[in-house]
Amino acid sequence: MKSFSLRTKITVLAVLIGGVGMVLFAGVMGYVLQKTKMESIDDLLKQQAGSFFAALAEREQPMNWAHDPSLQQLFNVVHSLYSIEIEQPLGTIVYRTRNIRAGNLPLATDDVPLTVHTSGGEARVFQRKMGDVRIRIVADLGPSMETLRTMRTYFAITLPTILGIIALGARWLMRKALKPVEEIATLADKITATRLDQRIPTTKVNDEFGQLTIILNRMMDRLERSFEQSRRFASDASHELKTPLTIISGEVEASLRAGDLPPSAVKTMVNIQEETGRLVHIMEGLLLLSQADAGKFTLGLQPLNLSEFVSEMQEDVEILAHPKNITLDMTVDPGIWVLADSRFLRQVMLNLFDNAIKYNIESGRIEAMLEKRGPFAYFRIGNSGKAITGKDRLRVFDRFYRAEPSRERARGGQGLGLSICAEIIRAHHGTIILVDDSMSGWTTFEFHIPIASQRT
Amino acid sequence: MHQHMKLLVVEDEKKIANLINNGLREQGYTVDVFHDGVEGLKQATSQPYDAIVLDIMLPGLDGLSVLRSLREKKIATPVMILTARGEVNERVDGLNAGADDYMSKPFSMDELVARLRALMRRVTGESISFYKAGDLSMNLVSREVLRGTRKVTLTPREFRLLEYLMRAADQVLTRTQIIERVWEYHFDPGTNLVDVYIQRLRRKIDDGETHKMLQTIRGVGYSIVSK
Repeated sequence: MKSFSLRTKITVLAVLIGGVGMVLFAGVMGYVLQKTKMESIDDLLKQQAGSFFAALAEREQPMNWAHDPSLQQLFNVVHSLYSIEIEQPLGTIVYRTRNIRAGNLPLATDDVPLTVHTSGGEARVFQRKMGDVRIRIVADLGPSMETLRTMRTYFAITLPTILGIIALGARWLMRKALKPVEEIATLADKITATRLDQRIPTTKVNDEFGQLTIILNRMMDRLERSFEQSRRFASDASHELKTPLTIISGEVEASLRAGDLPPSAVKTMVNIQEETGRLVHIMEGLLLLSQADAGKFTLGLQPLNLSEFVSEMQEDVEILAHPKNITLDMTVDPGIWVLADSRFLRQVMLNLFDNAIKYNIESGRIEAMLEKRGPFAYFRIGNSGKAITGKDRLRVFDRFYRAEPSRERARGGQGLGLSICAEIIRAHHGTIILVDDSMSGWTTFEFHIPIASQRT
Repeated sequence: MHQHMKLLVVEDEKKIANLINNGLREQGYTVDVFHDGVEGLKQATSQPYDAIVLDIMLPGLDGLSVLRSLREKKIATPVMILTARGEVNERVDGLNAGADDYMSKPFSMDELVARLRALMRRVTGESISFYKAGDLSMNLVSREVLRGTRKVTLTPREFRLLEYLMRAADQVLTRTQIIERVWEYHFDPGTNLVDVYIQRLRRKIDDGETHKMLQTIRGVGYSIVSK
């Protein structure tokens, strides 16, 4: 039931409960009805037998069973539904109404009504003896059974109808009941990290949903505070760290510029300079990620001819790929315009190309492709390096994650590149994925961002 | 030529202020340094400066407020903003408040000097459509590059690289600065991209010449050396 909506679950439950209830009710009703009916038949049979013996006792002469015309008077009511058998002496049948065939009736116990099955259907037998006379009265149960059957038929028709009504009613009721929840959910969804300063309006405060709204809003207060704190922390930390870094790099630069350092000192200074630069890059990356986490990473998106943008990089990539003798195969559909922040998008592209070179084999290949598919521009880049497999696939976009820790540090990777790419692409309203390309043994990344209206 | 140029630096971090001060004095500028916003604003309104270097985070009055006050008082002195936060919005805020250029920390002194020079030229109306260093000249409008009388044909990227080097002629530019300004890559591929372009450029400019202008300063970067 996990994948069904609450509304469906409640509806099914209501129908089940309703159905079971109705079947139980119908069962009890049927039983009681049958029992009552049977008791009233038994009463009638007993009454018949009683009045028979009373009338018999009033008679002075013995009965001539075969021909006595007054025989009928012995029976209080002789209905066509009753059949009668009389024994005198016991065991010898002296009278039998025409609708009973000989040997048809099983032997019953005196004074205990019994249901028997005859060729004409179900019947109720009651026998009583007095002196050497025994009367056996049989009532056809057909009509009573017919009533019960009719009832059952009606029930079989009405049950689904009523269950249907219950189902519709439950759905309607649930929709009505869940509507505020849906409204709250929609609103809460709209108030994402980017607009954490907004709140769900509390219209009906006194019902359960009003309470929920208040709790949600309170939660968002806390979220907003902590987001703001972490954002400010990152920003302050970045500022605090950059001041000493500026001094370090400034001093190093000044002493390098003075040009009076011995060669060994120059090497040291240059190393310090390079590492300072790397620190700044890492810090900027962390700042970007923390802004993204706080939903405050927004870009100035401008129309950009992505086709030209990508083509322009081709020569650079070829130069970068040259030392490893890697060939680049690039197909670019012309005239694809997007809304982008070129500074950041360039960072993504370069990062992807850089990875495709770094993780490639000697004399490997890179295939890059830009194309328009529906309302999106798709950029796909694959390299013939070892495919990323298993748990690494899920973690490539994680921060500071390296598939091969030792090797990549040597190559100068920071482990932030792809997570930053993911945030930048997200800020472009797009998605970046690692394509499942395990069959080919390549590593392929793909991102898509929405296409902007055509410009010239 | 800069002797008469007077610059104001407002930066609360004394060591950074010192670095800027020294760097600018080396270039022959006269420099006044102040460490808080209120003092800086007072100074900027009471004396004429050729350019102002303004830190955003300042005690007393922050850099953006100083800048706004200046612009409200119709003081159009070119302003270079320095920030350590590096947030996208800050750059936009700075430019909206009337800043002429923007640099984020840490920055290189050579880069700062080159950009301040460009700012001041823009104000004094001095043409920045033409660069000359030694017998190498480049016209930014006609995109003509001449070594002596020999015409040099450059690809757009080579042209941009040379322009950046010429702007900071006789100063050293690091590979990272070049990558960021010429390629606009805010990500150092840590590779030979710059080297390859420098080699190409060098072949076109220096081949067959006795004075090699485009020089590699070992371990530091590259420079156009005019003499």
